[in-house]
Amino acid sequence: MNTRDVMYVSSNGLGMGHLTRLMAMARRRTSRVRPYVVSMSRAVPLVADEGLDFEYLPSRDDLGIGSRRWRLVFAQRFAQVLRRERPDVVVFDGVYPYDGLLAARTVLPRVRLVWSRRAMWLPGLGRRQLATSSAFDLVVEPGELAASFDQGATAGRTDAVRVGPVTLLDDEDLVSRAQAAAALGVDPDRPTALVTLGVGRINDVESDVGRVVRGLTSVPGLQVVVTRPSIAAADGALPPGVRGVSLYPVSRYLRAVDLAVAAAGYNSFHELVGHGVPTAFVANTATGMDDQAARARWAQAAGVGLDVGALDGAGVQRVVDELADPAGRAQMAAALAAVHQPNGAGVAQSAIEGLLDPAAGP
Amino acid sequence: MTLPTRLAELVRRHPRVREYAGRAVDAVVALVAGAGVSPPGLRAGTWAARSGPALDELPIVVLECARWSQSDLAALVHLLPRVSADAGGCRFVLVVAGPQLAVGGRAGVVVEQLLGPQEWSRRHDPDGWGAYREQQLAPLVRTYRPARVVNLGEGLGEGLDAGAADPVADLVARLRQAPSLRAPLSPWQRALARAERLLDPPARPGPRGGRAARSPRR
Repeated sequence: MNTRDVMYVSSNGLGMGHLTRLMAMARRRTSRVRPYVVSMSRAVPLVADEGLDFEYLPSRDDLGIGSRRWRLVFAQRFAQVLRRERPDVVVFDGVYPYDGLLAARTVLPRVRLVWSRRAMWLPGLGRRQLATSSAFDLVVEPGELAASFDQGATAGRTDAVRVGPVTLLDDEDLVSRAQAAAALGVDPDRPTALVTLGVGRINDVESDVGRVVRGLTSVPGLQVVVTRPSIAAADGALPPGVRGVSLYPVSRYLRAVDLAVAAAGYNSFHELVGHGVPTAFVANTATGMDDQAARARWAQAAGVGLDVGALDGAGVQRVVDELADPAGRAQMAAALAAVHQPNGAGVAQSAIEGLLDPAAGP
Repeated sequence: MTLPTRLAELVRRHPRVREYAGRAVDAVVALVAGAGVSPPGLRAGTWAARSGPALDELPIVVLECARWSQSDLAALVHLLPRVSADAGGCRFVLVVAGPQLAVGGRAGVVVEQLLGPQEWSRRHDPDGWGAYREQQLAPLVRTYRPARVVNLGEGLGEGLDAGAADPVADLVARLRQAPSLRAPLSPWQRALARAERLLDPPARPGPRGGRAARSPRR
């Protein structure tokens, strides 16, 4: 069988969302696809664990240079990668399709372009980016559980193939509670809280984590695990007895997690809600385009999580009062089961591979 | 209201004017890049004392260490502040293999990836690796306009004498032995760099040299 080359391209973002969605799609590819990942995230070596070859192109933030100069650099470098790898399809996950990416057809006239366009944009932003949608052969919109709270520019558009929420793992990929507890270094017979606030809050992660960890460790019998993102620039010191883990994907171990405190980014939100973990969501408002606050509000309204505006004294107290209580968690777990949707990664990948059919050729 | 403020307000308010102004700035930036001026603001490491236009004066040195192990690379990164100081100040671009990307990144140093021969041969003709390496390094020279490119070989033992009494001096010596690719900035190039810095402000460094919180507007 002739293999076809699909290049998955991610912008860097503040966390792992772009890269993780692409990995979720790539791991559901058929045998006719030879994948290649090009990313602006320094976390890209993680894709090697999925057996994917990869290449890193530095982002503007990683270089520290001006946006216009970076666009020039990126366009030249990406064209070089395209000429070398000659993909049949380029799948981009990001909110800003760069000029260099859109110019792919001037390098490879027969290449097909796909935009994995996450919804939930901050209201009032992104019209310019959205205008580039017509340059793509296919726009895939990873599903958004909180879609009813979406007031961004993509809401109500009909130009995308909407799929279910895209997460890296399906339920059956999660390891047992005993195995997960062993990986997290906790006792499977005691409740465990996971604190995963993401790299985006690294500026104040010590104070946020410190407050919430102090609150959670005051709950008798509760074990606390804090994730240390692999791309974090700094690690905060953790109190004694609190486990720090750097596991990717941490979702593989969610069966040992009874409650969580997490940022409301696409990835962690859909993993935690999708795998049924009662969670207090803390919206990161420093993102460029992601309306995390709306996601957290939806979770609260749907009864599947808490919307914790800030991890101040009152916020931490809410987490402790409402999530440390087993009865409250059980109620939330029932609501979580009711909103569950199947993983959309496979459907998205099928749509991408549909472009490889001769009938779909340009 | 001053004239520049009025002009900025005019550009901000009118989408068409903003678009044309953007294109004009793009053209200027392309012109400056074509004139051989390194990108203003390029990261100089978390230890760098300089910022603003003074940062742009520091020469750029590309260190090729794609065959280094993670531990060797961590040791090298640890030495870089002293190497920079002893060499009179410079900005480093580390060329590393894929898995090592985070090591230099955490130190606020620019990192580039070069596929190793094994990674390369998974998708391409193994005999083509040498040509690939050349093709990969050439754009780096065009992008960064480095003062020197230093190939540090296979690791500490070869690229840098781990047993040397003073590995920093050893590395500084290797830097000085590498052929010089460019003269210090001319007054004209310095003026161009300042103009580009004004028109296309560099990204602000985040905590410990990492990324800054993103502004909604790019």
